[in-house]
Parts: sequence; structure tokens; C-alpha cells
Amino acid sequence: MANITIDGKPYSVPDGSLLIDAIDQAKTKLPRYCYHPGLSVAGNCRICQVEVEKMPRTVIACNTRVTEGMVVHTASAKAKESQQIVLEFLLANHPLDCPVCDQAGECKLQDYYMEYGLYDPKFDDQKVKKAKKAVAVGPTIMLDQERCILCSRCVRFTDEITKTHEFGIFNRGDVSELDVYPGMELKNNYSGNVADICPVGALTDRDFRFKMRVWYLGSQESVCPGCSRGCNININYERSRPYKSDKGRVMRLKPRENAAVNRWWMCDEGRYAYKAIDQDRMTTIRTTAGATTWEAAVREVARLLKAAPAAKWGVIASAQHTNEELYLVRKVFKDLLKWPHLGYHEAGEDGPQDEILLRKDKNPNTAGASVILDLGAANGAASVLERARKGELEGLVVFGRDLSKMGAPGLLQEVRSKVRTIVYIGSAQHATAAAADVALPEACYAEKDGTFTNFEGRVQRIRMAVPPAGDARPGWKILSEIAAEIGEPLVFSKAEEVFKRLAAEQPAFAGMDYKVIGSQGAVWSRR
Amino acid sequence: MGYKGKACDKPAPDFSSKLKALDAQAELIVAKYDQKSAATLTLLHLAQDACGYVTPEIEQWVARWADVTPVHVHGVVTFYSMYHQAPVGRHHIRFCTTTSCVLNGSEDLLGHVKKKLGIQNGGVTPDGKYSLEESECLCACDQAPVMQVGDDYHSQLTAKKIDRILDGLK
Ligand code: SF4
Ligand code: SF4
Ligand code: FES
Repeated sequence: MANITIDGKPYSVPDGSLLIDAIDQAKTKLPRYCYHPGLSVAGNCRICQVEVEKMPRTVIACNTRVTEGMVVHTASAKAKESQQIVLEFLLANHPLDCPVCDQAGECKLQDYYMEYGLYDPKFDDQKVKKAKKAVAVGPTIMLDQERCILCSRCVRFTDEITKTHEFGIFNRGDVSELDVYPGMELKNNYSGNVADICPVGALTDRDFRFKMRVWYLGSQESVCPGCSRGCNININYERSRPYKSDKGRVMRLKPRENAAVNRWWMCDEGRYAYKAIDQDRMTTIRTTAGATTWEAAVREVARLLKAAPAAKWGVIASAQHTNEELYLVRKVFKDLLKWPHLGYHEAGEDGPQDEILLRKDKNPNTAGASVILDLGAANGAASVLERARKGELEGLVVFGRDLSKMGAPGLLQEVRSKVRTIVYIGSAQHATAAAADVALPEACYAEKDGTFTNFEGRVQRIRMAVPPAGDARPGWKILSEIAAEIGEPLVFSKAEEVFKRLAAEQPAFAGMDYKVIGSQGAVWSRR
Repeated sequence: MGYKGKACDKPAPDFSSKLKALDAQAELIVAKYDQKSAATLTLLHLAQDACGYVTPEIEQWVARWADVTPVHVHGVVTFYSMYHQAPVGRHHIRFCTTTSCVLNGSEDLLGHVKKKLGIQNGGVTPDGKYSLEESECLCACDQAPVMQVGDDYHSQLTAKKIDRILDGLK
């Protein structure tokens, strides 16, 4: 360990650490553009100037290693002057077109000018103009060359993380420019990340551009439901806009740092899947008896389930459900009603997987489902559906899934013609929802609280970002009310309470609660 | 102003057989360096000398030998002014525009060359004989004004001397 002093306070940091990491650990503010903890050190933007005693000039903190006895000043007059001068150079050829720049509000040039700049500009030369302004470099990203400060973060991202090598910095001096290799497109499943790490408005997200000024956005911590990785995300939503099917409330997803799960990144497949939150939603209750309120609908469904002969009904559960909901699915259908035909897993449902984040299992909670439902190898949705297809079942409860996308083509029609009653509980409006006799609208992941367990057994929280669309309600709530109506007092007012009960009963979750899980998740105690 | 090379807008010819003939030499060059990537510049010169200018095909060939990515090679090609991305004339003139030469009258002389050949900076004469490039210091300040034609240096230039040199070229 090395003993160093940062702004007058002593710290002990591992030998050979980067000074900027020591400064960050000391929770001291320092500007940076090119430095990113997930990428190699470039040291080219020069903004992270600090004064180190006994060194003649200020140095960059991101490419200086700590040494024993180092005395560092991040905000001395000398350090501040250097930071200010560097910023002025970085802005020398910048177009200053903030009013028409989508980065405004989350731009590090704006932020640092206010925090470290505030100089009177001394450059009165003609600015060097660069050719590409608002040019798409691929399906997701727009490039504005003159806003680029050549920090090379995006180049290092495509070199080191995706290893797809699309970006480069070409030419020299004041006409240097960032671009994709001639003839190439930025087209990989992680392309959206370059808009996140670009500190300025040079790379912006084509999907989000000009949809909304960022200061109108609310943000909620959540987890991507796109695959079993469970990347940590922030859901950015419009704070004032009510639910309308044509205009979304959720504006974009941003990756949220979690060193153990997704580091700083997320894949494009997950990033742009947010549209489902506001599209093709089922928002009203529909039952055979014409119930329009939840009370009536729950009563009707409970009566239906209670009267059903256990061996003649089946359940297609979902690994898109939270642990809390799966706990209640188990309570109601396995423990209480003792239905033998219950499945959630569909063989052959897998999608692509890569070496970076993406997992082939497109469900966020298969691990949770396998432990909580505890069906062993008999977890297949296919065998339940096969029974339905053969006419062995009178009724079917389907959670979320669309049978028209499962199994052989025509499965839904076949099942529909054989099964007398289909109850669908889910958030999407699709063929199965339309074919069902009873359809109850459920909140989607962005509209409820709960937890998912990722493929490594990490239990992570999702939180309500926007209220449920239309009449929708969280699945745990629907299930607990049905349970209560059937006669088991599983009454909870919050998802957190369901989790408490689950943790008390399931050894894998022992010792966990929402506080322990926190924002970074907690790993199962393996049995 | 920094240097910005122009890419060729015509379709690039197929240099594959020329490059194939260079493979043996490339292997020797790469063997001289601890890190293959260090051979990038030398390999580019080798290919450019044989083919006249650098095309994407050449960048990919160099990238393979130097074990770097084509986008990295392209960064190098565009950084250095001595790599061409479009064909140049049989006689490529690099005319110094830096301080010592300017003090010794290079601006007028450059104008003279432009007028004589009828081309601007970066231009090639229609017959493909001459091309002109304004260059940064050619490191012969004591001999200013200076120009380079192909690999030859010509110093203490006057309009007359320039005429003699250029007219004498085949
Ligand atoms: S586009 Fe953005 S991330 Fe890439 S070099 Fe320029 S400023 Fe840096
Ligand atoms: S890797 Fe999986 S969890 Fe992560 S963003 Fe992509 S789909 Fe979502
Ligand atoms: S952040 Fe240190 S030089 Fe860029």
C-alpha cells in the first residue's frame, strides 16, 4: 500500500494504482473525458490535470501511478488553471450548438465548462469545420464529427469490448476526425453503448434523439428482462405523460454499473426492447361473465379455479415473472390447488448467446423459476401443451406467453378447439390473449416491484418506474387476491412482503431482504 | 491546418497479384520487429512503392501482415502525408510551405508552379505527368526555398530553376 495525500487528507491505496482511481475512491471530483474504468488508458484528452508536489508541472491523473508519499492537489489554483486551459483547447473547434444538440443536459462539455471552465474565450480564429454532421454510422448511432473531442473512448470500446473494430481516428492535427472504417457500418449488438460513453454530443442514439430533453426524464433503477444475464439498467421515462398506446412513457434504457453482472454495458437487443412497455398492451379486464372490476374478476377466476378438477387443468407459468410472483404461482397452483400439470420451460426457445453479456435463455428468471416452482425435469411447458392438444385438459391458465409462438404452428388453434376454458394473465395483447375466455391485464416489469434471479443465482431488484397501463395490476397482487379468494390468506400489500415470506420458506433466499439485495443484487446461498 | 489526404473516388484496381509478389518481402520485414505492428509503416511504403497509392485492399494486406486491424492501418495512412490514397503523377512534387521557405519567397514560387502546371494543391495534371502537394517543412531550411520531386531534393529555388527542373523531366 502507498500512503498518499489528496487535497490535504491522507489515504492508503494499493501500490501502483492509477491516481485517478485513488481520487475516485476518495470521492473527490475530477473532470475526465477519455478515461473510462472499463477501457484501456488513453491519456489523450488532458482534462484530468492535478498538481503533484515536487513535480514541476501539473500531470494527468489517469496516466500517473501513485507513489509513496505523493501529495496531490485536485483543486489548487495551479490544477484548476491547467484544467481550464485544457477545456478551452477542447472547445476551440467545437461548434457550441447546444440548442440543437441532443446531448445537452448530459454533456460533459457543458458540465465541465460550468464546473471548471468559466473563462472568457481567447480564441478568435475561424473554427475548423468537419464534414459529417448528423450522419448515421449504423442503424443505432448518429455521428456529429465537429462535436467530437477525439477522446477515443468509442474507438477503444469497439477495439477492446466488442472487438469489431469499426471506429478509428483519421487524419492529423486540427482536421483529425472520428469515423467508421470506410465502407463499414457500426452494426453490432452493443453499438448503443458508444452513445453512453461518448462524453459529448458526437455520438447520439438514433432511437432516442430529439424525443425528449433529458431534463424532463425521470429515472428508476431496474434490471433488463431480455435474458438471464439481468443487466442492471436505469429506466428513463417521461414524468408527466399518461399512458397512451401511440406515445410511449418509457423513453430509453441506460445500462447501470454493476461490476458483477454487466459492468458498464448492455446489449442493443435489451436496450431497444423497452418499446414493448408501451406497445401492444392488454389494458382491460375481460371475463366470461362480463366482470369489469378487479373484485368481480378475481371472484370469478377464483371460483373457476376452485371448481376445476385438478388433473384436468394445466398451467403455463413464466420465467418472465418475478421470484415473488413465481412463489405465489407455486402457492396457488401447486400447494393449494395441487394441480399436477405445471410447466414453464420451453425447449428450443433459446436465442443467440455471445461472449460479452447476452445469454441464450431469453428469460430473466429461469433460475428463480427452477428453484421456486421446484419441478425438476418435469418443468416443460411442452408436455402440458401436449396434453391440452390431445384433449386431456378442460382448462388452461397461461401466464404471459403466446401459444401461437410456441411449439408447432397452429398449436394455439388446436389447443383452443380442445380446451374449454383458457385463462390468460399477462401484459401483452397477442393471439393467446385474444383467444382466451378470461383475460386479466398484468403490469409489465417496468410497472412493478420484485426480483429476478439471474443465471448465476444473483437476486436483483426491479422497481416500478411508471404506473401499470390501464387496468393492469402487478402479477403478485392478482395472484395474492386469487389465493385469498380461494381461501388461503396470502394477503400482501407490497412485493417486499411477498419476498419476505419467500425468503423465510426457500433456503436459497435465506437471509435476503430488499435492503440486503440493494441496488447491486445478492447471490443465493447455495444449498 | 492539419493534413488531410484525399481518398480516391474511382473504383480501386485489383492489386492482388502485385501484393502476392510482395508477400516474401513482407515476411522478411515483419521478422525484423519484436512486435509485428511496428512493421506497419514499412509495409505501407513497400506496397505503395509497388502500387502507386494505398487502397483498402492494401490496408487489409498490411493489416494481415502487421497483425493489426484495417481501421488501425487506415488511421496510420491518413495521419502521414507521405501515403497517398489516390494516384499521384509520375513526378510528385512536394513543395515546402513552412517558415524558412516562406521567408525566402516560396509563396510566389508555389504560385508559379501552380500556374505552370495548371493544378492546385493535391492536383494531378491531366496527362498524369505531374502532381503537386503543399508540404510542411522538408528539413532543408538552410537551402530554402525547397521542393522535392519524387525522391530528389531541389533547393535554393528560383522560377527559372523550377522551369529547368520540371521541363527536364520525362
Ligand atoms: S465520438 Fe465521442 S467517444 Fe468517440 S472519440 Fe469523439 S468524443 Fe470520444
Ligand atoms: S445481455 Fe441480456 S440482460 Fe443484458 S441487456 Fe442484453 S438482453 Fe438484457
Ligand atoms: S481523462 Fe486523463 S487525460 Fe483524459
